[in-house]
Amino acid sequence: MLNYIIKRILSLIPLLIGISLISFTVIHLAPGKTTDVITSLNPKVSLEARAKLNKIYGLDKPVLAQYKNWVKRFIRLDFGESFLDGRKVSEKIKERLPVTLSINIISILLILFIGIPLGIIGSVKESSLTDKLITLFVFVGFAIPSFWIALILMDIFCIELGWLPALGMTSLDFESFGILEKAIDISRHLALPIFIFVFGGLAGISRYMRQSMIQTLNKPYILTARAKGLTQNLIIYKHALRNSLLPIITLLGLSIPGLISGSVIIESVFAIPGMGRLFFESVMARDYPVIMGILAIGAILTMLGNLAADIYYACADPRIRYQRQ
Amino acid sequence: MKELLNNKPLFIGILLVAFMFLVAVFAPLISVYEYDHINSESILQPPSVKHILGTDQLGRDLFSRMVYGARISLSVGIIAVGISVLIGVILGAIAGFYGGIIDKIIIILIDIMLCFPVLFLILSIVAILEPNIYNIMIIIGLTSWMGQARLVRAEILSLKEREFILVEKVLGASNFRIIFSHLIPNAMGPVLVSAILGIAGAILVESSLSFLGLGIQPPTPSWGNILADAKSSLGIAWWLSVFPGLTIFITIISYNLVGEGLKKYLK
Amino acid sequence: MKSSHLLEIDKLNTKIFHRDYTVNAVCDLSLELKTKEILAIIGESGCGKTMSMLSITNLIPKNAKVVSGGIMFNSKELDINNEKELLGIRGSQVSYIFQDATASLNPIFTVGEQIQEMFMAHQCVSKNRAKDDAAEVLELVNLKPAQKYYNYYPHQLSGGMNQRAMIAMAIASKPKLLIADEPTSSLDRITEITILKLLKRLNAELGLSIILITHNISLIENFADTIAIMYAGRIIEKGPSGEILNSPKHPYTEALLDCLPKKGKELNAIKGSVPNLSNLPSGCKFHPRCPYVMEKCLKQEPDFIKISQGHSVRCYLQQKT
Repeated sequence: MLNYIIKRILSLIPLLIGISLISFTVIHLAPGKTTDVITSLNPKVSLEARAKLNKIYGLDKPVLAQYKNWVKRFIRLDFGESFLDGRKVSEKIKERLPVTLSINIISILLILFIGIPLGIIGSVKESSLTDKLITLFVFVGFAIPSFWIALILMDIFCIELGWLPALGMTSLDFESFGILEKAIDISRHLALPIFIFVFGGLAGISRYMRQSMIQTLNKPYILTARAKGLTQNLIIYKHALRNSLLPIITLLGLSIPGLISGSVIIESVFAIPGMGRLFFESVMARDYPVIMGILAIGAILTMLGNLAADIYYACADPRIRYQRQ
Repeated sequence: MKELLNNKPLFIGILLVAFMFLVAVFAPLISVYEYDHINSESILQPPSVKHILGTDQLGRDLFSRMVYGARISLSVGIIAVGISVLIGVILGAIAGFYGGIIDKIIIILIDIMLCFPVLFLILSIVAILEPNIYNIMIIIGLTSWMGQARLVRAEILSLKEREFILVEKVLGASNFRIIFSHLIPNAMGPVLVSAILGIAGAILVESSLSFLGLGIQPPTPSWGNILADAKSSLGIAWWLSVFPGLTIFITIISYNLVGEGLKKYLK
Repeated sequence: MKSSHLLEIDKLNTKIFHRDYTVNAVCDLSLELKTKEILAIIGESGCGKTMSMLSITNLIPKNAKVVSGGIMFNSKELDINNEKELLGIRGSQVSYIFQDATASLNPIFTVGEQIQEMFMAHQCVSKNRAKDDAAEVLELVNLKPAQKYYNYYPHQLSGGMNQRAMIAMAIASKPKLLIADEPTSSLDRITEITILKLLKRLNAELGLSIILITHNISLIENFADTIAIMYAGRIIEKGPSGEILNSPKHPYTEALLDCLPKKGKELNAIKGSVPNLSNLPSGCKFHPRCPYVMEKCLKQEPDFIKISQGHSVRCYLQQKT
């Protein structure tokens, strides 16, 4: 298995090269120099200042040299300074990343917690009314645009009913709250965003889980388990479930980019101070260093997520963990 | 044919897709008002006989705007998917057929592209170039070909070894001919399903972009940017948020129904 | 009611319900098995051997149903629809082993853990005790040293070793009957003989009755006490193995034995093909392929006709007018 892990980590190298290439290319697609934007936004910037900026960003050198420069900084995760406020890009991202990560992790946990049982029910009661209802519910969740349901829910729960706060992650007088109150305040602010993430993500997991369980329940070793006189519960939860969960891990890894993309919309609508919103703001302001930085970080997170999923799978499946004797 | 009609979800899906298509094509005939006709006297009117779906904050008729929005969304969806299928099929076929290092390179390219969260990449590029309809179509196409490529590659890998291909090789057919006349046509089944589901995806992406203000720019109506306007009238004009979103939702469901229905049919 | 019989099946009928058609997998199947007896059921693929044996403890797939018939096990009538009763019999009184042992074992548990599970489920002993018991039974099937084999996963072992592990699992709770569904069909000849020898030994040492399903007749003579020949979902001849093999009375049995490769003889195949179980011929199901077919064979299926003690056959040829 060590072999497998080493091979897997080595395969990351071409990916990292590709990520650095693409994030570099994307920004340099801009017609004209990237610094033109700042200078055009702020006519007060003098010619000397412009030349200085060009030098700092190495924009006066040929493209290949610029790329080498970029790679050197990429490795150190140094994405330069923001055009907007001059702060280090990595600082700005560091501030916002935990928020986005926490929301995503909580959402994933909830999706698993609800989606896996839904999938199991669907497989055990295949083609029953319950199964059909679950399929319908899940199909709907999959097709609803997140920004639409965000508006509708905001209208109902924040404006009409006034139960939940609409924007931001914390209330104005957050600092004066006790720990419990702080926790409740954040929960109230994040309730709708997390709900929307979970509602949309349930579709994939529960459907896949259902399919995986159905396939597993038809395997020969399940017949053996029945022939052994094991109870239905033991067969489903011990023999079938663990086998069905294996491919779900991979699926989770694959859904990370989708969740990060979704963050852009949800965080913007609900004004949550996360990385997605930072990205959106930077795009609107054409703050290229930040854009490049978040693009690269997003890709690296996805890559790491997939790596984690694959390694976990290798540990969980004895057929990969132990080779044949 | 009969099986197609018996499959209720598929049938409903096809009807809805056709309906939306007709609405888009006959937009100028159906819409009562011009989509950018500003009427300061009927601002934010709820649905009535005069304006079936109500008006927005500039007095524009929502129904007319949405009907033109259908044109935008559908054309973006179809062309973007067309581009992604073109790229995906070609790359996937080359990878599957030639194998070896070419295959490895294409696979790595696909994996790299898949690392980027879709909206991140698209938003970056749209920000750099200007957000107009043509750019959006091309960018969405350029960032969603990976699924098609993988499908085609898998199909071709399995078809490659089958007898009819070996027969063609023996008969001396050129590689080009084998790929284009024999392999690709046989691999098109899953690609068709993927393309149909892809149209739904592309429409969703375009709506999201327009909602964020980086897609279709006003005054040209897109379901997404109508919803963006609706945000400022939240709580005051429910029709502005409900109808455009509902339309996007129904459109996506209809393509999903068709796609899933065809999937079962192809099996 | 013969109390010397361990298992009695009387006119068992099992149907498989597909969307557009129904398969009569098992038709009026009757057989008896004594304690300590080894019965071999022989027949071509698709004749219903597996379905009939799975029907005994209702292990049939969801779309199949035992429509009629009586099953008596250990002098008690089995109610097919009483899942609770059957749970008490599966594994502890009646065990199964299947054809592809590696696929029939759960890939994420070690072989030892799956045997340990048997002891914990049926004997309700502690985990450690069950582990020791599992090691003991591994030794019994010659997977020594037991400690080593206990910790192997199925994919790490050969087909033959996995089959022995399955046998260990099956005899863990000291069942009275072991049903072996083509246990050696995917194994090489030498391993096949090893497995059969093992089963024979267990029969002698533990008093275990065995029903062996197979389509390979050649090894049966020294292995089985009785043979039953199955065709189109029903048993058409049964009797002591020596008699069946040396003086078969049913034309199908004759033809089957004739197919066996023998030195100096041309390879033979039986004319025609196995009937479609959802569309069976009238009367005797073998009549379309029978070289001795008579008019009455098309009209009505023959009942069992007794040839000698324990040997009966369903064929009008044996009917003494």
